[in-house]
Amino acid sequence: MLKIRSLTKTFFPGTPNEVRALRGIDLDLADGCFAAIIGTNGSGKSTLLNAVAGTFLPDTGTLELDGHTITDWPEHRRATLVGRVFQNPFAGTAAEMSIAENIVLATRRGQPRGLGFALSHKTRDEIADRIRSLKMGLEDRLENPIGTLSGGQRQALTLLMATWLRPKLLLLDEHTAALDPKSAAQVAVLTKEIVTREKLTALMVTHSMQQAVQLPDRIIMMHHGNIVEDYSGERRARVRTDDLMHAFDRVRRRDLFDSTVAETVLPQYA
Amino acid sequence: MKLTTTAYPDRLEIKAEGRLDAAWAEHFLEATRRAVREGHHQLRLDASGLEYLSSAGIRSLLQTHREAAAVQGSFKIIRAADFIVQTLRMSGFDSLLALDEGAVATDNPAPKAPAKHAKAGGWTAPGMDVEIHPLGGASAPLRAANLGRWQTWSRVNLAACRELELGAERTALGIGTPGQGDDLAAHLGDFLSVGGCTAYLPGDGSEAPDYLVGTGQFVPKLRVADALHATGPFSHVVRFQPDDSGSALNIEQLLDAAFATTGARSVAAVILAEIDGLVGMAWAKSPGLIAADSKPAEFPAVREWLSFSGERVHGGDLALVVAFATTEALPQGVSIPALPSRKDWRVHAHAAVFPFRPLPNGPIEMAPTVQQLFAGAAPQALLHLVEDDRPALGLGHSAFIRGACWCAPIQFTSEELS
Repeated sequence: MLKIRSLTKTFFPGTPNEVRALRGIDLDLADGCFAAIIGTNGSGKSTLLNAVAGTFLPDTGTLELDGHTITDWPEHRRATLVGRVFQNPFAGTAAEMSIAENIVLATRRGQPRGLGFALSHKTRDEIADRIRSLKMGLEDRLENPIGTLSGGQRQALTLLMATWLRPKLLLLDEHTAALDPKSAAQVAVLTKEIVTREKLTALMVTHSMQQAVQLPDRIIMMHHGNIVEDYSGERRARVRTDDLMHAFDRVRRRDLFDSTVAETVLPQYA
Repeated sequence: MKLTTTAYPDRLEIKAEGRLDAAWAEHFLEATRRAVREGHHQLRLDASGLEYLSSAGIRSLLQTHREAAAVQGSFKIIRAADFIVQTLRMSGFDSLLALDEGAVATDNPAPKAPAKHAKAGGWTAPGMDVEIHPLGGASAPLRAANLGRWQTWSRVNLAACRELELGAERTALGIGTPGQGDDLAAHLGDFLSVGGCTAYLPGDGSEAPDYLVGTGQFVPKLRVADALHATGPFSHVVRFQPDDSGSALNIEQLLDAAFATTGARSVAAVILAEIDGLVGMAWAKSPGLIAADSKPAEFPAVREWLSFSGERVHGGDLALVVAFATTEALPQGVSIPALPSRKDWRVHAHAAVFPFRPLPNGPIEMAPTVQQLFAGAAPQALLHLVEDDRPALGLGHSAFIRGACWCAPIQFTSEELS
């Protein structure tokens, strides 16, 4: 479904602030695979998500989604194939519009959106049915402005909107990080339910090791713009939170093993 | 609830004022566990200020009693008010009460600091309080040998790897694995063995060590590329803790104690102690995979092979350390690296890390104590200890807080003694 080849991106090249954010990423994501990307701060995980979403164009490398080479597609064109949920629960919805109106906008993703009446009884019923699946009691508040909802409720609706038209790829960028713990757990469970039910291909950036272990089929770990671990298949099946913490520790220790260590400590290993 | 502790020469009294109920039971347990960890194994609860005792509170008292008993200590309740006595009697736990003892204790003189461990043998070491106990083992040096004799960073000749039986009398460390053939090549890693218990870290990227415990007719065996080993009973156990300065004790100080206690210039030491911080390395990739034409010891390639702790790690856990140390010339074929800060010392030490559990005070036996350790929890890490003496950046030595150091004089032989 998603093929990434030799993807690189350097920000501020040739300046003192140069950051080699992606250093030749190769990644294949099969149809229906739900993958989490974890990594240290600055590891490149959000940059990779943004590169796929088209927030910027890569320096080198190619991106292929659902058989389309999208490397040069602008962000809005990629939006016809990609659904996104951001960290900020207020980023994916229009606060002044009602729940129903927000949903209708989502149902017309990639289509012309005019000024005619959007909500027929049939549409309203369909919206209420889908929102009922969130189990938050929002189906009775379709006319309420979405800005009156809590962060957790709003993020759950954003998730529903992003997946309404079954995107070819769902991108989740730390989408529970700004929520309180209870809401975060609720949205995490919803994410798993929706991705599984709709058989979506999804890429989720998270800092939560618990989520990384509980939700996806595959766990990818990034460090310094590279993929350094890829837990899939049998290896994924036995991975625990502790294993991920060890993996973080391993890459951190590797950074601390510099040439001064090699010079002074290694002779004791001779 | 307010807790006040007072140390007497023979006990630690904890005075509890307020309610010992579900809200405070865990706080009380944490306080008693901390006391046991600090070496106070005779605990008394002064219950004269207790206003209420719930079932959750009783549970915490029973738990403290069990944990003190596990280290051959005791826990009793003194100066209890009538309602406490009645509650415990009705619950069937009046064995926790020591009412007479409480009455006597009231008349005791002013509290004193906990008893210092007496230094012995005419040897004193700065920074340490020690108790030295002879164990009745042979005072003649144990024969120690270097088996396998792999030259670090060279290609491992798998055919030259030797089998080493690791029975209850053998103390060993080195590089080995239980595997054979290709498995041997892919899984060589650091190991240590004490009292028939062997922990080894396969060099296949594993984070947690595996282990073999000898039981009945089963004697653990490893194929070793390189190992130091000695067989026989140890002569002394040194119980140690920091002196009033409270500074943690580094491995150099503990080995110094082993040298002084045994009066030997070559020693085997087994340390079981609470960790302040370990500094070490481990094989990230089996040395059995080193190719003939590769240069694995060069930076940065060496980072593929070895993992460096990078900081002092595993503070608060328990370490089982096996060390061979010498200040004399080694016979041909025996190789031990020099210690950077003491050029006349050669030290090789491996440490296995376990979750903390308190040790009984006094002259504890080595093999049973280690066997209990392995029966309780799996080792969490295994490191080859190093001294990081880099200017400014260096992490220094591994350091410990309190524990036991069993030691034996050894004499290295040029034979391999499989």
